[in-house]
Amino acid sequence: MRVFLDRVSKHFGPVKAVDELSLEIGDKEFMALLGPSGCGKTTTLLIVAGFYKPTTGLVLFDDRVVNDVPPRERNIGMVFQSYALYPHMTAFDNIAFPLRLRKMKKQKIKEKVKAVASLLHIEEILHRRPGELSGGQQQRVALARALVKEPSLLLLDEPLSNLDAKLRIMMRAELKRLQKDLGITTIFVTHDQIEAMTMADRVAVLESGRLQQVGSPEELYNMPINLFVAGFIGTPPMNFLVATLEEAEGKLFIKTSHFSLPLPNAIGQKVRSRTTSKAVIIGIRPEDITIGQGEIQGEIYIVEPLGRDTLVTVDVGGETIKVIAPAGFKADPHERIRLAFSLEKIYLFDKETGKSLLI
Amino acid sequence: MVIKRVTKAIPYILLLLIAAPFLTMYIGFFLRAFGERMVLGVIPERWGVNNFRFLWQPIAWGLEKTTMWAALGNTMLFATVSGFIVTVICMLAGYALSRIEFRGKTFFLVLQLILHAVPGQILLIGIFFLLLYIRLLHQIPGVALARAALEIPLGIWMAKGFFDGIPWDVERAAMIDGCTRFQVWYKIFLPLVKPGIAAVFIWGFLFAWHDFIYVYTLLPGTIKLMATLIQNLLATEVVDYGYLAAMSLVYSLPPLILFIFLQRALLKVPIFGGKGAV
Repeated sequence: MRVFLDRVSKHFGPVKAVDELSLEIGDKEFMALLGPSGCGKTTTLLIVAGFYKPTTGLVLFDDRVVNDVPPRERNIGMVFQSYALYPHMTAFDNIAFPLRLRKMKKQKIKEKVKAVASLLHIEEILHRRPGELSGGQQQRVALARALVKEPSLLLLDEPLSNLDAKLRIMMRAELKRLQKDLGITTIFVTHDQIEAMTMADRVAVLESGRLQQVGSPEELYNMPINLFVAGFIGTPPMNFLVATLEEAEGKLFIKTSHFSLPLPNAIGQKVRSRTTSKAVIIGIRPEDITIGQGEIQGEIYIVEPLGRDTLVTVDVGGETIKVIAPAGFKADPHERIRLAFSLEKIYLFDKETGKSLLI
Repeated sequence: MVIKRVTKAIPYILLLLIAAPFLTMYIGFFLRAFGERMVLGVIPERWGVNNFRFLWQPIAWGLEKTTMWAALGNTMLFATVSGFIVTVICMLAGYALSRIEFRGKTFFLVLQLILHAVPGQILLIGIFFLLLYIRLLHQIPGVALARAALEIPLGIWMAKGFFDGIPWDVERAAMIDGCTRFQVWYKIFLPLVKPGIAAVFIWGFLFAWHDFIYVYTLLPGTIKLMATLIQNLLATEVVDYGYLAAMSLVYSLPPLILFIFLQRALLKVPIFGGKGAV
């Protein structure tokens, strides 16, 4: 099923929780709504579920406007951050609950619950109550309850955030696989960009109720539309430096208080055609900086070995820059060091608007 | 060592001092009920159950006779009906006030508190005529309805508190699963607020059980309740205190038994996993 949000807004008094959001989620697509807390992503999910009515705008399922359809008639499955299992029922009864409400035959219910339980490997715990289950088991029961009614849309509200780190990585892969196998259109809300990037087909980045950018994980990573998206996607986050643009010898240079670098012609041309302003912000990802060579001088602030590689924080004229160095890199604080930026991987943003100058 | 013991004992001594007047009263009450021929008014000369003879003998009531059992049955009916009405109304109103947004909600909640502050006695005349007009005067269910009305305001607040404790996500999950609002209330919330149901029922039951002024004023003399029966025994020239104590003891037993029964429900508060939503 396709979901289409057409200029949806939700106001709570003077607060615009969701502001003119337009978004299309394709059939069988796995869409992540990503943003910091308070960005309106959960409100958006609750609008899709039917708990909130949009103040303005339309919600469409396929080609049907569902603004006034109550949640129980939308045929959606939902997993909550708190799992929201019914504490007074066993896992079996929790999963069977939506089927019993549909007055399904007992034998059929039993078959369906057994089937979904085996899909999620929870056959052994069906007789237990939520209070006797671990967080991971509760989550599987919640997922089973959402899937047992064969919904045409699955909504996931931060389902992984209450799991421990190891289990979260495992469930990430499992959820993604499950979504692909079942082919259910899925909307997934998260504040964790790694979860969004790893699981979703497309990611919609929200901030302050407004859609910033929507695209595949690669698009968001490689072509962030503004400073917010650039800073939000990727770990460790992109480094930002204030700089000015200067023409010299037919080339465009970026100049900070400490260094000056020539821009590659391709980037220079794009920038020339998009702005006349001189004040810009340079963005460079930690993985696009080479340590130990180049013309930028800095001082080691701290070195953090991560196993596969090493995270180095370098002080360049009072600004800190994070660099991913090879594993085994060693240096002491205050040691002088040289850095080289991969200039073809550099991002430029308008200092005033925060918009990318490369797109 | 000694000082430590003394400091430890101080709270207990204080508690005992505070409890002493009540304990003395209860002890006196028991001695009276089970003792016969009291010396100096407090020391029984002989133990026995003669004071409890109303359990098998009729009691004089004006020119006629009645039994304690009839009064106990009436009181039970009165308190149960009242408790039931309080429970049903408070559970419905508490859910609505906890979960549904509507105009005037805050005003309504504050109004309940104000209403609770109004003493029931000043409403007696109004209620008398109201029951008269709706033809429920002089009937136990009618008076129970009036008595229930007095406990409903605070009962609603109690019920609302229990519903407030259930996370929104549980309600949303139920609605996603296909519940109507009423089904959410009936299938999910009521089982989860069992302690609340017990508490509200006890609340309504107890106040009706020991009510005197409403049953005395609004019921005819021919319908006896425990409270009016005991009052009747007090209003004689020679008061048999042992007899009275014994009857009062029987009068206080049912609420005690009810409380012991429902105590388990009161203590059984469900535990929710994970982070609750707003």
